[in-house]
Amino acid sequence: MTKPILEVSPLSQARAAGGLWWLCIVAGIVGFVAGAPLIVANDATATAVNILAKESLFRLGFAADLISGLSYVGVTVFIYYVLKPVSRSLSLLGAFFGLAGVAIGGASWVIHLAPLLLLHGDQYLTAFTTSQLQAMSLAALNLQLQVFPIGMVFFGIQCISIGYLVARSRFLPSILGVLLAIGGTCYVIASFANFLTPSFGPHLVPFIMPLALIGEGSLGLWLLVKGVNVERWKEQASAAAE
Amino acid sequence: MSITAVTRMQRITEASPRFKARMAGLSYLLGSLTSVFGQMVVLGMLVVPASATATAANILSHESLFRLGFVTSLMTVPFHLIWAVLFYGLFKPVNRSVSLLAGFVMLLGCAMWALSSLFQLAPLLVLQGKSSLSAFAPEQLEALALMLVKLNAQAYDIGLVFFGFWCVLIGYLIFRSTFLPRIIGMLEVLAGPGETSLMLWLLVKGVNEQRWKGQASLGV
Repeated sequence: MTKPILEVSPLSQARAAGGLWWLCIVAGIVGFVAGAPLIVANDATATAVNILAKESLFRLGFAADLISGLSYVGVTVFIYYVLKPVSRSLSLLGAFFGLAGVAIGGASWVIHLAPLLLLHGDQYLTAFTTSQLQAMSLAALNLQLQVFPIGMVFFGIQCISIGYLVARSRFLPSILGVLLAIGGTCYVIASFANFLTPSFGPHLVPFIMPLALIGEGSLGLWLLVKGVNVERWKEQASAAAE
Repeated sequence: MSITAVTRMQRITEASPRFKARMAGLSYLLGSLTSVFGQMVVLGMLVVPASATATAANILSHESLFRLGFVTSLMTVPFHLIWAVLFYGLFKPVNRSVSLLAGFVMLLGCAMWALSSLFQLAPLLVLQGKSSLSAFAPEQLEALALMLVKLNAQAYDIGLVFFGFWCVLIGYLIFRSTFLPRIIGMLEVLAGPGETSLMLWLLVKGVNEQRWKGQASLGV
């Protein structure tokens, strides 16, 4: 007789969400630190030289971005289950926003690889001059940089809804929810500032990104280390089922 | 047994898990065939990796084959989605959150493949642009077309990363289930032979219905 396989406990789901959240943050930072210094604004030749000289670093940046996106799918699913007792529909809405954000990231991954196709001096590309190929690859990278704020609109809305649910929950500290909702709002504001006033938008980033990191990092850490108050989680879950 | 458990049991009785398992096996088969035909067979016939001119000539002289390849690769997306949804339902009794995670991972892999099909169609727009693209030399347009085909391949490969991750999750679920052979789960984690054996098993045998219902009633 096989032992019955029961539902995974909210505690392990909370820990999985927190652990993956930190993996996502660390991989995202690695991706940024590896890739961003290679890009020289307005200088296609220098950028191309950097990418070819440090190709493994460039590829590491790509891989880290992909890992960040994949782990965020896990965050989205596990946090959906953890917060379902508070409001099933709002938790699902948040999860769908998260999925849409990762899907947008897919466009960024493809464009991220375009410079490597263009810059390797392949025979079939000789119809273009080297400087044209370098210009095309910098244009691809600039386009890729725009994908990030588009994704942030969706992640920001997801963070606001998760923050609201955490604040309303009886099994997680409300302050973590408030911090996350502030972080999510910052993402949305920074993205729209970037689209609407491209000269001013980037100046907001140094003020806004730390707030967003505090929100995501603190909830992620709490979920990883403390998990949830299982007794109260079960109370709220059974209250919601009635 | 509570009232909700009773209604749940009734719902399970209505939809046959064996039928669903067979449908999953069928969409598995069709999804794999369309993927291989659209991405590998057709592009393998038309693309000359080292020569943009030869590739462009092939695409233009076999335009309907090229379009058929595009349509077939696009069809892979709905087949994989059907497969993912059926597997989600099939494995929900084993572990609800891992099943949903697998479903979401496949959904995103499908989004990547849908994006790759955009790049697969783009070479035709570039090569048949006529006067609107006359600012570029014909050889430049041919080079762009081949580059787009290669970008399609990279987008497809990123989709495969998601697909591989999905296989690992499904393998884990099969391993933890009581209604499918464990060995298939282990092979599924290693992909390749596991996929083929799972597809054949689902098509021919379906699942052990009695055990599936047992696990479904325990796992709520």
